[in-house]
Amino acid sequence: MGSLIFMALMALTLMALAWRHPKKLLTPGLNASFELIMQNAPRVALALLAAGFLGQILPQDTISHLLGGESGMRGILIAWAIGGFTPGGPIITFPVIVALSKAGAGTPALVTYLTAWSVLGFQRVIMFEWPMMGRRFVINRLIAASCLPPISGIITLLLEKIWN
Amino acid sequence: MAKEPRHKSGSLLSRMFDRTFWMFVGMTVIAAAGCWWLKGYDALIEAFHDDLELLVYISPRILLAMLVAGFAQVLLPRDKVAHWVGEQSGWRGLVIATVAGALTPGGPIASFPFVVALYMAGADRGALVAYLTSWALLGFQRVMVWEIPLMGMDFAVMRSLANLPLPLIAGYIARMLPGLPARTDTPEEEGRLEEAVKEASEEQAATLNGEGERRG
Repeated sequence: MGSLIFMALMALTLMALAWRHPKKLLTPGLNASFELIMQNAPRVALALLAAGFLGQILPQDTISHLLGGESGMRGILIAWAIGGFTPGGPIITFPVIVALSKAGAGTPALVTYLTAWSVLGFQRVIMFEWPMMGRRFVINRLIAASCLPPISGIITLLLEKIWN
Repeated sequence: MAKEPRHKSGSLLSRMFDRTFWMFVGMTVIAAAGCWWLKGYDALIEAFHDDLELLVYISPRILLAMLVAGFAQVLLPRDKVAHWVGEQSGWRGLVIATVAGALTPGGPIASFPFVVALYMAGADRGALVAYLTSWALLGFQRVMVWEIPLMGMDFAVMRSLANLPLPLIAGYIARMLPGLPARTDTPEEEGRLEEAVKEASEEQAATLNGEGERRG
């Protein structure tokens, strides 16, 4: 409910700003919103179904099991490879990180895994980014972001060395 | 800048059910078939049920998000957006986007409307990638709600430090990658690109400045 109220307040604030705007932007704003709704709502609805089916095919524990108790450079590489295929939001992912940590996975591997899940996670890409921003933007961003997880893992390795 | 909403080409229906829409139909059908084939009928129904629940949850939020995006789009001053986070904004634009991303609360439904609006208002691809990366990696809300309670302060600090430079790296790479300005998958989006190109050459060629040019 909180997020709904937050979004509604944000929308109302912007509408009020548009209404009070010297250029009378209320109608243009409504037109632009209508365009966006008509174009994006059907795509997002379908994308959501697709993401759900894919999540069922690739459940969280199957993926996270692959990381197991790995650490060091090997852990970073495995985490990089599997992070993007991890479905679900933070409610599912953080308990998994805790479990992996207890199973002995190293901090650099876990940081890599979280980074990969955050920037490459397939469900968010399918559900929001692709429908709303278009395929080219997604490809561009994924290429740019694909190198980030190991960078974060290696920085964590170095930080650990300094820390201890 | 009171402008008409962009991409006005073709009828509303043809814009709704464009190529991208049918690509999503195809993807959904393939994903459903794969789910049935690999996991069985029960798993398919279970996934469908969960999806419908999520759809009920998300629908009103998406509508509000699109209102936010639509109004942000007409309210955002294009010249200022171009100045601060446009193609010529350099590292400053990437830094601004990174800070904004880290400060944006909430999940994807709350942040994507602004990305869409900024995109429409002329923000550069690199800056948007930096913004999304920063929001995904440095967002303070996730650190507070999930990371510190579950993984502890040390882990949260170390992960945040390790992630600090990443939005700038991603934004820089995204800007360097070749290709057209994005969002040109579908005809109406090409119409928008055409307008953007037109706007860029406004200063040089007054003849291209007309409003009547439309794509069929």
